[in-house]
Amino acid sequence: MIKFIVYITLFIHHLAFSEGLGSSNVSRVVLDNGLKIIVKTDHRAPVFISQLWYKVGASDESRPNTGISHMLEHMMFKGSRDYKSGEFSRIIARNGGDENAFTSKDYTAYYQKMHKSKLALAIKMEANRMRHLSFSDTELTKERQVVIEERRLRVEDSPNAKVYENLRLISFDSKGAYHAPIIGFQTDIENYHLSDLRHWYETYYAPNNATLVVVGDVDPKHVIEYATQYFGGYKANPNIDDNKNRPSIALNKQSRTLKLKAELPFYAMSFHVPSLITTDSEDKAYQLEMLAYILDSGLSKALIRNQQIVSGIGVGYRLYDKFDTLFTISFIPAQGVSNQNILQMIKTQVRELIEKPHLIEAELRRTKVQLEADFVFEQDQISTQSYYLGMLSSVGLKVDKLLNYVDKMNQVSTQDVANIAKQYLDFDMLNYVELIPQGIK
Amino acid sequence: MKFLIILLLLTTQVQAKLSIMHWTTPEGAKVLFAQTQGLPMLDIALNFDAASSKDGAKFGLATLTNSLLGTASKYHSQEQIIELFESVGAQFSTHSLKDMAIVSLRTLTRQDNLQVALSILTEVVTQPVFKHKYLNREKKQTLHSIKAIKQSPASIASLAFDKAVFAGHPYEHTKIGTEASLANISTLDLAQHYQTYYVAKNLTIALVGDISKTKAKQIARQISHGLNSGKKAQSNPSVERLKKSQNIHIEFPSKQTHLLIGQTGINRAHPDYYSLYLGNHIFGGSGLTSILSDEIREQKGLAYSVVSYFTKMKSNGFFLVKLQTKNNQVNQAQKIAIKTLKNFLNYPINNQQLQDGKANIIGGFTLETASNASILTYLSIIGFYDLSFDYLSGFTDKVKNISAKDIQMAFIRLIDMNKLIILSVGQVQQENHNEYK
Repeated sequence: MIKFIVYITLFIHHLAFSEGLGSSNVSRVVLDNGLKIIVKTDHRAPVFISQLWYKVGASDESRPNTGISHMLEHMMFKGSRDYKSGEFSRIIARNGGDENAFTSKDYTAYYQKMHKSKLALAIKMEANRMRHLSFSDTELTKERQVVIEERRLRVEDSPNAKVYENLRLISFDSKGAYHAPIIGFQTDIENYHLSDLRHWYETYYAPNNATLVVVGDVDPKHVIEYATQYFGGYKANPNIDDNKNRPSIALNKQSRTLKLKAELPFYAMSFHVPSLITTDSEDKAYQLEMLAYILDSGLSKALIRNQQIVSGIGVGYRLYDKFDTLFTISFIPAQGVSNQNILQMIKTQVRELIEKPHLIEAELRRTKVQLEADFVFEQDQISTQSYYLGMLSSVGLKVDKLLNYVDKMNQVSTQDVANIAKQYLDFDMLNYVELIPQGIK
Repeated sequence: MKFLIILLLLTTQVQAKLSIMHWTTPEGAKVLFAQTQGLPMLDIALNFDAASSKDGAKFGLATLTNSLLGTASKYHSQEQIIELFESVGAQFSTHSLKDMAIVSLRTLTRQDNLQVALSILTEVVTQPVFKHKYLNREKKQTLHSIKAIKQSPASIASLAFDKAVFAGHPYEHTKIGTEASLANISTLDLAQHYQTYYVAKNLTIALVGDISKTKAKQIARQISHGLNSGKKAQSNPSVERLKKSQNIHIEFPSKQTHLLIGQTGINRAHPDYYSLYLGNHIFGGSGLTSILSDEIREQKGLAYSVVSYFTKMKSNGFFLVKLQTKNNQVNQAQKIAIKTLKNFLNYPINNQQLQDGKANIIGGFTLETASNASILTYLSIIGFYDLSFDYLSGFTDKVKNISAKDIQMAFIRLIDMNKLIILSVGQVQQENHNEYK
C-alpha cells in the first residue's frame, strides 16, 4: 500500500514537467531518471501498443562492431534475470500479445500489441529487460547464426538490396554514421564477443536514452503510473551523450558497378542533403520532402507511363534522419534502354522543374491534398501512430513536428521546390551504383 | 487542414462493438458493411470472383484485366483518372490473386472528397475501356515481373510449389502468365473476361468507415447499378490430393536454399477448419513461439524465418512448411522439419502448448479487428467465401473447445507423410559436393 502512495506522488511530481499539447490527446512526461513517456489515446478498439525506443542504432557503430545494435536486439529475447530464453515471447503470446522489435540507423525499438487489460504486464516485462538481461555464450552462438541467415536472406541473395547497401558504403565515409549496413558486415557479425554486447547494452539501455510510447485505449495516468513503478528505480547513465556524436561524412562523385547473378538491371543514385534536424532552416527540409513527392510522381508519369523507358522508379528522402542524409533516385530500366539515356531524361525533367516551376503547380496542389488525407489514413493503425511518435522522440524532435507536418508541407511553393532542387540536385556531384545483371546460370 | 487534424484528435475517442450489416443490391451484389467511428475515412473493396483461376487457357488474362481497370474509362484517360483521385486525396488500387480480383478505394468521408472519389471509382469499374496501348504497356511490365521472379529464389520456389501441388487445376499456373501466354492475349479477351466476370452477381462489396448505413446502401447501389447483373462464376473443381510424394530441386546460385515441404490443404468450409487453424498456429503459425520455430531457429539457429501455414481459398489450398537456410545445412533443416511434423502427427501436443495457443488466439482476437483496414479484409473474406456472418463473433468460441486430440486427428486425416512435396531452390548440389571433398 505504501508503495502505491509513493507512486502516486511521483506521478503528480512528474506531471508538473509534462508538456501539454493543447486539445490533443497526446501526453508527454519525463521521469526523474530521464525516461521519456508519450501516450496517445485512441479508443476505437480495446487494444494498445506499447513501444520502448532506445536512442541507439547503426549510426552509433563502427568496425569491428557494425550491426551490434541489431544483434543486441535479437539477444533481448534470449532471457533476463526473471525470464528464461524465449519465455518473454511465450508470456506475451499466452496473454494474447503480438510482439517484435526493430533496429534502424538511429534507434532500436521493442513493442507489444495487446488487449488493454494487459498494459501493466507489457510495461513490467519491457522494464525488466532494460536492466537484467542474461548474456549467455550458448545463446549468442545460436543467435549469431540466425542473424547471419537473416543477412543472407535480406541482403546476400537480394541483388537490389546489395545495390542500396553499396550506395551507402560509397556515399558516406566509414569514419562517420550511415556508412555501414544496419545488419552489419558479415565478418563483424561472425566475431562479436559477449562482452561487446554487454558493453553496448550497459551503455545505451538506460532510462535517459529511451522513450516509452503507448498508443491505444488506455488511461495516460495508468501508463505513467506503471512506467514509474517499473522503470522509476533505474539510474540514468550520465555519460551517454559523450559516446554519441558521430555525424555522417559525405563523399561525392563515387560510383560502383556490381556485376551480379541477376536478371534485371538496377540503378540507384544519391545526393547529399540535410535532414530536418541538421538543416540550417527547417523550411528547406520540408521543401526537400516535397521535392521527393513531386519528382516521384512526375518521373513515374513521364518515364514509366509515357515514355516507358523504365519499369519502375522511386525517389526517396529521409526527413527525420539524425544526421545529414541522402536524397535518392533509383530505377529499373526498361528492356534495351541504357542507364545513360534514362539519366539524361531525369536531368531534363529536373532542369524543367527548376526553370519552369509553374508547370508543377497542379501537381503540388494535388500532393498537398494527398498528404492531408494520408495524415488521416495513418491514424488507422495504432502501430503507425506510435512509430512516428517514438521515432521523432528518438532522433530528438518534438511531438509537435508530427502535428505540424501537413501545415509545413502546405507552405511549400512551386518556387521553393525549384530552388531546393537547384541547390541540392547537382548531377556533377552525385554518387551511383549500377547493377549489371549477369544472368542466373 | 488544421481544422481537420484538431477534429481528428478530438474524435478518435469513440468505441463501438463491431457489428456487420449485410444485404444484397437489386442487381445481386452482396454487400457487407461495418460502421466505424472516430476517423473521417471510408474503405471500399470490390471483390470479384474473377482472378487467375478463371484464366482458362490464357494465363495472365485475369490479372491483366484487373490491372487495366483505372487506365481508361468511357470519359477519362489514365492521367485524368489518376489526377481525379489525387485531387481528393483518395487511394485507388487493384490487386488480383487466384480467387479474388480486387479493386479498392480509401477516401476521406468529407462530402466533396467522397463524391468525386466514388464517382470516378464507379466509372472505372463499370465503364472501363481496354486500350491496346495500355495493354501493351502492362504486358511489358509483366515481362519485367517475370524476370524479377527469375532472380528471386523465394518466388521461384513458391511458383514451383504451386505447380506441383495444384497440378492440372486452375490454381496451378502463375497468375501473371508466361511470355508465351501473354503474347496471345488481346483487348478483346480482356473485354470478354470483364463482361463475364465483372458483374453484380459475382461481386462482394465490403465497406468500412465513418458513414451511415443509408449512405453505405447508396454507395453500394451506385456501384452495383452500373454493372450487368450477370451470373455468379462457376466454382473451380476441387484440388485433388497428391497421389505420391515428390522431391523437386531447382538449382539456383543463392547462398541460402529455400525449402518448402507441403501438401494439399483445405478450403474455408472444411469440417476440421478450426482444429487445423489452431493446430497450425501452435505448430508453425505463431512466430517465435511456435514448435517449428523452437526446433529450427531457437534450438539450432538454422534459419531466420521458419513458418507453416494453410492457404485457404474456394477450392483446397495447400499446407506448407517454409524455411531458408545456408545451402549446406538444408539436409539437416529438412530432417528436423519433417521429424517435427511427424511428431506433431504421432503425439498429441501437451496441455501447456494447447492452452498457450488458445490463449494467444483468444486473448489477441480484438487485435484482429482493431483497424478499418483489417476489418475490411475480414468483411471481404466473409462475403466472398460465403462464411457465416457471425464468423468473427463466433471465432473464439469455436477455438475454445478444441482438444489436443482433435488437433492430432485433424492433422492425421489431412496430412499423409508418405505423400509430401519436398521442394528446394538453392545451390544444394555444389555445396554437397564440396562437403564430400
